Amino acid sequence: MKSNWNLHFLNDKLRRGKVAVVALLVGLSLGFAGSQVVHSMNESSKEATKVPVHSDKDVAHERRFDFAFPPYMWGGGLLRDSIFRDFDDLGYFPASFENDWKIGSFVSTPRIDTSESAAELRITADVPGIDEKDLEVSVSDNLVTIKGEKKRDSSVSEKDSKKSERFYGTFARSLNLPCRVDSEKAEASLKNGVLTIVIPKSQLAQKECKKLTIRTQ
Amino acid sequence: MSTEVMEACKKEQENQKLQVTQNTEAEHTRAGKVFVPRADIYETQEQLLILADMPGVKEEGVDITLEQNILTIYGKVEQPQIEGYTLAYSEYGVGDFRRVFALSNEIDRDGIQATIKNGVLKLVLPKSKRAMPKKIAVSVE
Repeated sequence: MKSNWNLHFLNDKLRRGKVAVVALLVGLSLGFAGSQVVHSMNESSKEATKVPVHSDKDVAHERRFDFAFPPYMWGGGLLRDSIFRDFDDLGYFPASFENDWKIGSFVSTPRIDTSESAAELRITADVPGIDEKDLEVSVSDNLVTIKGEKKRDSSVSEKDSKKSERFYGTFARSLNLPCRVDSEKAEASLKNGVLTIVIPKSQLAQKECKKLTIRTQ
Repeated sequence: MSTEVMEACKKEQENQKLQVTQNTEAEHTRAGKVFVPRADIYETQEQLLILADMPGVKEEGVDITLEQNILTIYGKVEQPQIEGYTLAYSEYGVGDFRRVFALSNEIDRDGIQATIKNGVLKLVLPKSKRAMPKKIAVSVE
């Protein structure tokens, strides 16, 4: 009786194992197929590589940045981060807030340029030596985050290093946007180590861009 | 500010592009800024490897010259011409890259290889046969 029970237990284990193996195989093949699709897409656009953009709509907590950084203050990495760091030392910000900005440690942030047209916002960032698969761009209504990892060249080993000036490791950086954007239409591309993100302004924001004429009395 | 913050600020400054300010050699024939690319140097028994960050440089834009024992790398960055945009904020500035390395005679000049990928220039400088370590077998008389 006891041995029978044992057998039953073994059977059950085997079955579970099989299910796991099948699931693994399906997952792997899907993954490969997915990467193939992505690869072929990349090849069709030889000039610049597309980087997928995650659009997070209705992320309410991001707006908390606004009190410290009005929308006209684009970027401002060092200033912003050091202010936050000082507050952090005082234990000023709640823990949930920390998670938002701490990833953007300003030691390793990519340098950025921002420009603006009537209909679009444009961000360029220097990210030399980073593959598009190691880059993650996410856009919400009023915030852009660039995350990435710069890996060491696989052909070299650290022990042979004689001089090291370049940065390796992970980085992340968030930017407040000056207006509401259409996050789902945002596009990012990578070319020669420069990441370009183009985000169309929302219809409402474009309407708001109305200049007033100032009359003299 | 805590020491951690000071450290980070220092690193941030280091992280900034170093612009060539002193013009010790010759005047540039092109207007615009020129930066010194950050570089890593690796040395193995067979070769030296230089990796230089030159974001925005295409393979056609790279110019490598070797004169006597002076290796000069120059990366030309095309200014992006985008109509209708106004610059809102700038941190890195667009400019060319230039850096000069002094090589010893131990480098096999003909074997130097250069590749560029994702804005990183990779220079392989093989050591000459003469400079390679050689083992001498000792025989018994």
